[in-house]
Amino acid sequence: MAALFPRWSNRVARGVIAAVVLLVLGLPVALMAWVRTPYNLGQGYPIEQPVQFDHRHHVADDGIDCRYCHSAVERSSTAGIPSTSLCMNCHGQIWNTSPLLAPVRASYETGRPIAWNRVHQLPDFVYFDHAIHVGKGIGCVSCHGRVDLMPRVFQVAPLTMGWCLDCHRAPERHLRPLDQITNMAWTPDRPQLEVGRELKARYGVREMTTCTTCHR
Amino acid sequence: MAQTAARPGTARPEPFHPVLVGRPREGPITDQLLRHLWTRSRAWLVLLALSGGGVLLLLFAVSYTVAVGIGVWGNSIPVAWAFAITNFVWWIGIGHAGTFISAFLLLLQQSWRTSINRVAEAMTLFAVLNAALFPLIHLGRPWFFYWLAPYPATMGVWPNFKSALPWDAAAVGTYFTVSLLFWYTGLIPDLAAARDRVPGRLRRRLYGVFALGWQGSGRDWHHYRVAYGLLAGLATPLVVSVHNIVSLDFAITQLPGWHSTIFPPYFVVGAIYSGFAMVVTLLVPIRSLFGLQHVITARHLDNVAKLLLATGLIVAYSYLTEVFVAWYSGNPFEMYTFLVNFPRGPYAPMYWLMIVCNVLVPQLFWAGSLRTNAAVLFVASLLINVGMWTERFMIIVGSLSRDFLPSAWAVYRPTWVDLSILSGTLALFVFLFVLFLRFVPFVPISELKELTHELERKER
Amino acid sequence: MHHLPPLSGASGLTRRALFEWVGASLALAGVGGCAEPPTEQILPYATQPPEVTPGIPRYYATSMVLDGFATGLLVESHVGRPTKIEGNPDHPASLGATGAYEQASILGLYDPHRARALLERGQPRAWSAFLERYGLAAPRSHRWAAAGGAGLHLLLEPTSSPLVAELLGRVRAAYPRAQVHFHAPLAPLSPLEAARRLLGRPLLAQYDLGRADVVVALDADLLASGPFHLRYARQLAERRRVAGPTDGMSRLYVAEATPTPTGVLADHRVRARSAEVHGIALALLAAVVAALGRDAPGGLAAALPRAAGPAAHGDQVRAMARDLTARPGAGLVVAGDRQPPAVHVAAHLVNALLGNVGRTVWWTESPILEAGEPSHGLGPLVDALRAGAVETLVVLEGNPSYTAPADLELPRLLRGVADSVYLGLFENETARDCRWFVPAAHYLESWGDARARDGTLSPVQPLIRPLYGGRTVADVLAVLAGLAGRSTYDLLRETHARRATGDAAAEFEAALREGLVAGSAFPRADARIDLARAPSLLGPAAAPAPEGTLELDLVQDARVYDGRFADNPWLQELPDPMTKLTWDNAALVSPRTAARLGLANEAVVELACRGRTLRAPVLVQPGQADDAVSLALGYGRDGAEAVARGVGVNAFGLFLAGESPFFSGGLALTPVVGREAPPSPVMPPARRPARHRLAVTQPHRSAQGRAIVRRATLAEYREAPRAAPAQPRPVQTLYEPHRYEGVQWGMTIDLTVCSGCSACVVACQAENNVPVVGRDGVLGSREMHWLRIDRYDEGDPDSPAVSMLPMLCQHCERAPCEYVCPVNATVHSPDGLNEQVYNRCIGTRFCSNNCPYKVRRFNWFDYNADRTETQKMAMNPDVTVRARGVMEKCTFCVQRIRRHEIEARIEGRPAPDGGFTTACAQACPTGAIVFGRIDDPRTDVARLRRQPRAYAVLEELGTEPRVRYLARLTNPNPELT
Repeated sequence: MAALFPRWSNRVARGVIAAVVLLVLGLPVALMAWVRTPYNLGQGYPIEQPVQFDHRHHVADDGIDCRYCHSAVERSSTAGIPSTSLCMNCHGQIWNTSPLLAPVRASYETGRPIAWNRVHQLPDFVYFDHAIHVGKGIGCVSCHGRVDLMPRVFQVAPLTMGWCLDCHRAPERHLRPLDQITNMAWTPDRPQLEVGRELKARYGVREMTTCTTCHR
Repeated sequence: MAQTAARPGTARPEPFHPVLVGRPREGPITDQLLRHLWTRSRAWLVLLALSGGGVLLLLFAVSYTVAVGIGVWGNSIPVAWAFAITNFVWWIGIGHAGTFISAFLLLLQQSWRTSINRVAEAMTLFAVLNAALFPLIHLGRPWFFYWLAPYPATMGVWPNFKSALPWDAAAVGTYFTVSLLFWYTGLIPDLAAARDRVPGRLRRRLYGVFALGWQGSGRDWHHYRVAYGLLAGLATPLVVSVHNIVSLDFAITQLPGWHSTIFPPYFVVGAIYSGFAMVVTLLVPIRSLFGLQHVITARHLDNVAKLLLATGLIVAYSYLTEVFVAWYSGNPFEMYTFLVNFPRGPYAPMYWLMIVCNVLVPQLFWAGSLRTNAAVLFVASLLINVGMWTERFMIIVGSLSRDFLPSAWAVYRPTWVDLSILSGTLALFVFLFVLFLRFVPFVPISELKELTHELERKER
Repeated sequence: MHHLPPLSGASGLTRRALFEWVGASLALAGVGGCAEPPTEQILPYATQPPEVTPGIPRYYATSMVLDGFATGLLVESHVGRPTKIEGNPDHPASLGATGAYEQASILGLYDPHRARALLERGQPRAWSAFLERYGLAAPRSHRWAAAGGAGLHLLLEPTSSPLVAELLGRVRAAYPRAQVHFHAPLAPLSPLEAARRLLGRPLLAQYDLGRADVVVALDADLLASGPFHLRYARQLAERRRVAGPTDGMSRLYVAEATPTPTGVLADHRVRARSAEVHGIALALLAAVVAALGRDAPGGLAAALPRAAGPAAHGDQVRAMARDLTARPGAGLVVAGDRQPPAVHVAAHLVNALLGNVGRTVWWTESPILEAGEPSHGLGPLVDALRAGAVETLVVLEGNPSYTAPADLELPRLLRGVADSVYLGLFENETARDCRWFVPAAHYLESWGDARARDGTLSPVQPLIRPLYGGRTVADVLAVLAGLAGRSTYDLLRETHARRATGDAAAEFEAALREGLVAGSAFPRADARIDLARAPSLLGPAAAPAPEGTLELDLVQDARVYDGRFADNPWLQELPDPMTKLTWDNAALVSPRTAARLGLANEAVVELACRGRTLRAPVLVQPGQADDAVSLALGYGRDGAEAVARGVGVNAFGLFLAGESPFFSGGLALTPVVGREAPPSPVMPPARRPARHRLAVTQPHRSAQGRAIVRRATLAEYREAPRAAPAQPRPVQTLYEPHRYEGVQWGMTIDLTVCSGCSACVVACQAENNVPVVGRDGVLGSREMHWLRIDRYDEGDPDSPAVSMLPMLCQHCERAPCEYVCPVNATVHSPDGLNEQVYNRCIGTRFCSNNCPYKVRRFNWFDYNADRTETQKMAMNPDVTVRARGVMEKCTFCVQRIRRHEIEARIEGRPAPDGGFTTACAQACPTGAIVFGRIDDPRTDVARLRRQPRAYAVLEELGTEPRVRYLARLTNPNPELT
């Protein structure tokens, strides 16, 4: 009887089989790769803010210490976003007519807060505590990057749990002297691991990898 | 002896029955075994519609559960596992007979398996499909099921390999895959036969695609044999491993009624027991519906009945062991579970139903006449299916509802969702089977022919 | 009677919802895992208050007032919103502990059903409109204004507030003929009446259980009710906590009709109908007099009423008497507030005869304004109402329409008043009967003051501005007094300034800081008992009620008090300390009575008493006095409170005015058939017994002979002090042992002093954002409490030996839950906590199956879905709000541990013991729960673990829990054993 299929159908069949195998193996790999992309993690995307606040200018040019504005960082779990009145301490005198600062003045007069957009967003079930980190020798720059070079702040670190664990398993790789916490440009004079081990011993830093360190 | 054994038409005294009644000739038998592929029947449509309705119910009940939460079931603390896991163990158990028949008996050169192995394998497939549904939907957060799999997550966390569940998931997955391949491989020559016989070019092409260009050449047959044999070898250990691992879900805990070393063998045997019961439940009607009494003969019924009796006795023995060990251990918690809670507790009726169905019913098969009596066999198989379900229910719900601290005791009551899901999976099972009967050659023609030749050679 | 509160997850299945679900399911199954959170906004202060640092909670001292008595509290506040209530250690009524009411009141503040609008006849009105009508302009608008206040009536709850007293004085000054009335159904009137008769003045007896070797409580629930119960519980516990075999214990006798936490701790509990207590008191007095013989003051023996009490309980009473007389000056007899004055008189006489007065008991002025005067009680008001002599009635808080004795028909009379004002938290029964409604401020929103039971002056300061513009009693009184212009805060400072000894401002600040005015407790009053007059006040002993006649007992509810807390889901779902009943009240009967009347649990019966009837479900209560039927007040509410509506039956329907409104004989009890009956194919409705399902959290009371609760008498303990095997069998394991590093945490619970009062359960719920599942949830045994209190009965089912066993996650060092979790969602910490990681949990519930203590809880639904914005404010920001489908359980308040740890480690030292504790331990009135470091042998918890009494529940399983229990000891009288 007449052939049911043309010759080339064999090739088609082989192709289909190959495609199925590839899909089954490739899809999971592709997904695992995608979740690690900066796009998915929100790394490196400067966030628009209601006020064009420029850290370059305030930190680099004026040399204002991080803790002047983020004053709770050494005591509280949150570093604290400065209140409008704090801005006005300076901007009551300087640039006090600048149109760029109109929202700040408005907030100061109305008492209605400025709605800043969050840059570093952790899930609600993560209880990150700034005080213990800066208190034990982790510098601002370790997680936030060179904020002093950012016109608009963006997220530098991936902020995945794996990333947290990298440091929590081996803190010595990031420890620095307590007087260098807010120094954006600090680099160890000796190999970091050497310095790290020394400081780890001095500050009594532990590898905190048990779940309730962050999840409560 | 053997020659005369199978002379056409000669009725032999009990308990011996021929594997084939008569010597079907090539053309006719093939046609008879394939005709259903191109004949329509109203009964079939009705059955399909009915089971289809059940499938819709299942779909709804599952969606409702996923959307609203496990709370729509009757589960509670302490009874955190109930219907879902009971159904899971029951279905996976049923899924054992197929592979057992095809693989085990193939390796053991049991000629009688031929006529029934395709049906058994299909049953396995559909049962495991049903079973696989439950571990998924019984999760509080099913959308994270993939956390059970060991893969490099950005969380830097891995599954807990001490727990039985990741292994369970793996085992069930493997078992399903292998069963599927095994079933399909065995199907290829018959699909080719169908391709060559069914009317209509479209149908032919369809079967042709799945026949993977089978030519029936010696080379084809050679590869086929190798692959089939390999898969059989692969599937055989799985028959044992799957239910072993399932049993560990319970055995590794310290709950009275679960914490027991006999669980692995006890579960495997129970599984084969229920599996064969389901085989009977399916074969008897098919046999009479399609008039296959000469292909699926009294010999098959007789053998399956014997297997039911044998496995049934082992199951009964396991029950006895559990009770004895509970008493012998002197452990107050174990003693309470097996001597008070099960026989006299809130679920006592279920317990005694289980005893009747699983222990007493198979005793019928000491009598040869009953073994070959299709009607008796059918009813008995239904009862055993029920009994095996209640067994799993007692193990899971019975044990959980009364454990260590009486302050936490509570009775479980199923909700309409629980019942819908159970009946839904039954419907899905029937649904798939009905489709299978309509579109797939359900008796392995090639092997049957082969068998015929062998018998004839013996006779010469 | 079926009921589902707003907070519960399950919702009825509507056709529309159904399709949404089907649709949602597919979506959920697909993308449920990877839902992107929206970018959040951060709103810093415009001007940051100097004292506030975001992320660091602050604590403020204030007081909660109940029927006029203050309990000092410390309230935790996160950036301006109160989230948790603790006891004020310096306050005499708290001593650092709290009860269920105080703990739950935080949720009351955020109750979404609170009234929000000022109404006149249901129409919204402005506060100014109210001012105009009742404030300065009143003279023109009311006749009483011209008539010196004749026709103006005020109805308040009993108050001890100097501020309110001051303002009432001013109102009276402006309107001399205005009448003031005080009413609260559970306010203790008869003790004051007894004192008035016996001492000539309505003085208040003060007790010191700490100095008593023998305590006899006559129908007095000292440990769980009354304004000083926290103090008494602590005092009693201190005398019964045994550190070693050489220690002694005080002895507690209790006579009561229905079991109470006090009865649980009793060494001897006399099951007596409330009416019998009078007889027992007289018999005790007689026995004491007899024992004293000629030491007894002349004539008293002769003057005592004859036939003192029935023979019943005779030997127990004689034993009590001998025990008391053996320890003159170190005994204490207390009569309950429910009991008529004669019983109190008898109790006082015994104390006087044995020289206990001045040692364990003394008298002070009552802090309650006009205590013991006729203004307390509704009689005069009702007369005025009936006479139509009331032009304006101002009801300030309370809920008289609901709580007034039924025979006064107050609601009808109220509706008859043309001009009435009601100030209340809710638009409740009373609001419905009044013309004007003014939303009240919660005490956490209020300025004010009050006195503790011993007179200690305690300020009430707000933690938050009124959420719904509520007003306080003082606000409204100020209006009537024509002071509408003045803020209550100023008035408060003024009244305090008048009392000030030095710098008024400084003293006021100090009072706010410390939560009390130091040294403001009342001095002891010198009270003379006129022994000659006394016998005439004892009244004739009631003849023993004939066999088989029933007594009705109306009792204060441990959860909703007099109904005012009925809208609080935490309290509604709190299992009753004794019956374990939630979301209901029930007619409690003894097993024997139930058998005699052929009643079973959940059978609906009709209670007929004093010509009034009420339908209620039956609950058989082991330990209940035979032929006494107890029914809790405060249920069957019918106001606008959605949670309270229709929960239980309104026992006030049987609450009638009179000298003993709380109990009376002549109760008829008939099973109800037909209505509310379960469907049955066989029986016609007419003959089917009606049933009402009761959501009881623990149906099984027997320990099945399992050594779960270990108990012994003091004597047995001295013989063999060890509760657990000296050498626990070594546990074989395949797994490598867990690494424990640094500080180790553990807990001990002393069953000897646990009365089961359940304050810890609510404290845990408040601290850990534990959801409420509603009646249906409890019926499906899905309650979410991380800490439950198991009750186990031993011995005679009629009067069993009851033990309370607080059961929480035992934090096993070899935790069965941990190795079965497939995703490592429950793991062990180096400091010995069994951690539950909600965000990793996928909800297999395997851990719960393998938990021998069944303390793990599962989120069957999204229990947080329908929280309102205000309810969200009650959440503890330091604890994750759990999602649907995950497991949760006690964490040892890990959020507190970690915060404590971080503070210590920033200073470079390991976390010390003390300085913080778990919520349950902090609330516990008796100090039964102790938490701390077990790695340091000097800590309390370490010492307690070393006690021979210490044992682990189910230790034979080798779980090696971090929670250890101290065996329950009792100190029975050898004469009676």
